Amino acid sequence: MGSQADCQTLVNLLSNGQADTNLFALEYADVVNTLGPMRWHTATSSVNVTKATPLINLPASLLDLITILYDGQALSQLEHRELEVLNSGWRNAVGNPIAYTLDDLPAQAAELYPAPYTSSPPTATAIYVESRSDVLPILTLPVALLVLQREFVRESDHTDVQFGNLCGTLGQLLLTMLEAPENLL
Amino acid sequence: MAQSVATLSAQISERARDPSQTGTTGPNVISLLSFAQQVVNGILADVTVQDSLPLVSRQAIYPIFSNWPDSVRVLSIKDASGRNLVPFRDFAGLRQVATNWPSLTSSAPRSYALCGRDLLIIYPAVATSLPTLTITSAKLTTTLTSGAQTTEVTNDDDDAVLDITEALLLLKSRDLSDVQKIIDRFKTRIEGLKTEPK
Repeated sequence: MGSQADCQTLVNLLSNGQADTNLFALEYADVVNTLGPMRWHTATSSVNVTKATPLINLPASLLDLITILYDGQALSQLEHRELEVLNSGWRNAVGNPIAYTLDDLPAQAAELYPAPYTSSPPTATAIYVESRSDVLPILTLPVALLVLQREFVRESDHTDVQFGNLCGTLGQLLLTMLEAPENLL
Repeated sequence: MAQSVATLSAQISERARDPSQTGTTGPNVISLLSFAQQVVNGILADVTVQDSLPLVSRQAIYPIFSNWPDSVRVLSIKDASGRNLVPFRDFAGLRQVATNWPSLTSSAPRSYALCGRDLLIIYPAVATSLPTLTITSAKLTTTLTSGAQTTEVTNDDDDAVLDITEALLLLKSRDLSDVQKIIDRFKTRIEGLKTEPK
């Protein structure tokens, strides 16, 4: 299992115990968040839909929304200007949702278009990239190296920029090599 | 083709100027070899594993890691007759074929798509007479914990495993002058191994 604990053990081993254990969780979370665009940690989740209300709340662990499924359809993501072309009164429209927008909304929210009918299904499914506390096991080594980079280039009593940058170079190279583009979105 | 972990561990400690394993103990060297082997096979996919996917009625989306924890990257999927399902080049391609892919059903699946690295989409889903598919993946190699074990990757891939482990040992001992050269050597070796006929 590629747990946070495994990463921390590796960080302690490779730093000979110099890495600050109190900062590990923050640095680990920062690295995991930067993995978002690579779409390693994809997940699905049911989200509640309120009848006649376009706004839906997405999972708190969401880093990047890939799509929303509703009533057996994959909805299109549209920008406000596209919705305006489609229907100038889009904000007040009610019907069976065919699209969603993320414009001008917080990261964990989306707006369905049109707002669901009163007879529409009560849930949608979000497909998204999530922030995980445990990365996939194959990522344990590269993530540990990227944590070491953050730990050793910051100002501290054990700063070692050359060591940190070499850890970062190797960690990033391994990530890039593992990211087979043909298998990604 | 596999090599003894004890031999590799001694060899790499010697190369990292720590022949008596005082800087990094034997078990820790083996642990680093283990992580390196997993990454090398994640890149090269020379060691594969086959897992079963019993389809669920009307279900198109299957999480990968929670179902098949030893699968690092799906390489191919066959049905019971041995026919290969056709992979979509990417997840977006699935949407271009049918926006109603989540609800489409058929008597047999024809294709699959990967959504990122942890979701598998079987297209179309099946409603009745549910087949079991066989998934071939790059394997997450078994964790190495003892010198009595052998590596799973080929001898050629072992050289790449040693490259990573050597770089890690030199980083650990802060003997940094050669690390970049070893990283470059590893990169060249992987490029060569990727193009080598299997």
